[in-house]
Amino acid sequence: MAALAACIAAALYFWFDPLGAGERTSEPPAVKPAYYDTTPVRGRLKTALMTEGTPCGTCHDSMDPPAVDPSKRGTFHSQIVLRHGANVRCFNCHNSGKRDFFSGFGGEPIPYSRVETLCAKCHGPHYRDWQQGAHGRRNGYWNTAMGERKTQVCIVCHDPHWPVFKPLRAAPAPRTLRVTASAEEH
Amino acid sequence: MADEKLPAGRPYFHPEGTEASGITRREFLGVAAVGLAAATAAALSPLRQLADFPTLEDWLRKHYTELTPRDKEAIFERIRAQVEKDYGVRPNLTDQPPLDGVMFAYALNIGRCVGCRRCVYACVNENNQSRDPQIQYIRVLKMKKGSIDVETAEHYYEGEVPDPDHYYMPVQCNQCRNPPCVKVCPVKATWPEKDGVVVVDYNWCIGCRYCEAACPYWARRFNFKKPGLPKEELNPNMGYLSNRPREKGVMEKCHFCLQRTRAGRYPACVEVCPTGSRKFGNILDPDSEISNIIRTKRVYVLKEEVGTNPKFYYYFNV
Repeated sequence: MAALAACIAAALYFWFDPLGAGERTSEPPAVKPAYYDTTPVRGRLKTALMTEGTPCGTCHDSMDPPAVDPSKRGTFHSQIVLRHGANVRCFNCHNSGKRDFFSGFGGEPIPYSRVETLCAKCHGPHYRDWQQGAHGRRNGYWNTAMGERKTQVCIVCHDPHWPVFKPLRAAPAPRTLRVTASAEEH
Repeated sequence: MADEKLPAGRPYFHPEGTEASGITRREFLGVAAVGLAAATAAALSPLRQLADFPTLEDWLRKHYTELTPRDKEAIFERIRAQVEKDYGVRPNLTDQPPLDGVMFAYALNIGRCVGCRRCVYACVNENNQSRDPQIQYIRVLKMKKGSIDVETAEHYYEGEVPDPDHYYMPVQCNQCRNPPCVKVCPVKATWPEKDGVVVVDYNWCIGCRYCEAACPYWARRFNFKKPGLPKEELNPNMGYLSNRPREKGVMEKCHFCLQRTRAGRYPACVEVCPTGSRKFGNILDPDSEISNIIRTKRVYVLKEEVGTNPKFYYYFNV
């Protein structure tokens, strides 16, 4: 009789597992589309030098360069945060005569579609690495015989006015089955 | 009534003067038989979970490298039907052969990686890994600047990255030229393909996990449970040796997204990397981006001293 009671008690214990940890305390985080979105950090590239859809030349082509700090003039310029190291002069990059263009060494216009040649004025080694494939993003096809390789230009990732790569929020940490003790516990 | 029919003394075999116990031998054996049957049924009850028994064709299947094209097509058709049954989507299951004159290699710019783990989840999304329990091919190690000490590396950092005092080193399958995981496999369920990618035949793997123990990069993952993959998150573009759904009890690992890369595309982790730290290409082509990186940059491989000769390179900015 006692043996039977013990068996039933053991069976109930193992069935309900009152002291066990149970299956899991919380579910692993869902794989959100934001974690695998291939859009570059600055979003889609614009097609021309413009502010809120208006090409800069629309207003500026008939104007002479202002003699004052342009960040104090107008609503468009006040939003610009310029943290590009020692490069603090607008017309180092922007063309003072043709405002839809960038400016080369001698003031020659550089079109928006060739912005990498503007950045190459100062960032020669990076330009070389970018051309050869060691720097910058590539999308599409590694085998250009089978499809198009998209070479992303500088300003897709770097804000030209504040070019340092901005911090990102890390996607969730792993919760794989095998867990190592962290370094402090050794 | 029973007393009248049976001869006295026979049914109740007990010493004279004691009370009968009230249980006949027949009743006792009956109860014991029912109890035994119930216990056997309980012991066999896990078999109820074997909903889909392997078919005879699956049992008699040959090794992948011995299959004829006709065998393969029959097997692929069975897999397509199974995936459609399990996930409600008819998959685009392919088995692209290695490209001629192509050896895949990977390079990662350790000076650019910010540790955002986008690659980890792009990989999970592309390759139909189990979401619960979690299986991920890429681990991102966070380490103090100035050393490569993987023993003290941190896996579980959260929040904003990069931390200015640390750097990040993602680790995944190194696609070794001298792969220890292949050497230890007792059934040859894993092998290097002609384009240099070490693959696993999920139907041939017996789940012994020797390869997991042999890998110095901790790159192999085991399905301890049936993979938990929501139907709507299945990637229907799948390859036989790469991202088709796995079963409980088999190994899996990074395969450079064969379903993409053998079609000429970049792997999912390269495609997603917001910093452009990840580089991929054909190392046999001297003009490829990857060949140029290995030729012109300072490059290292992880655990060079163990002699695995990886095709996964880390490089620095300068």
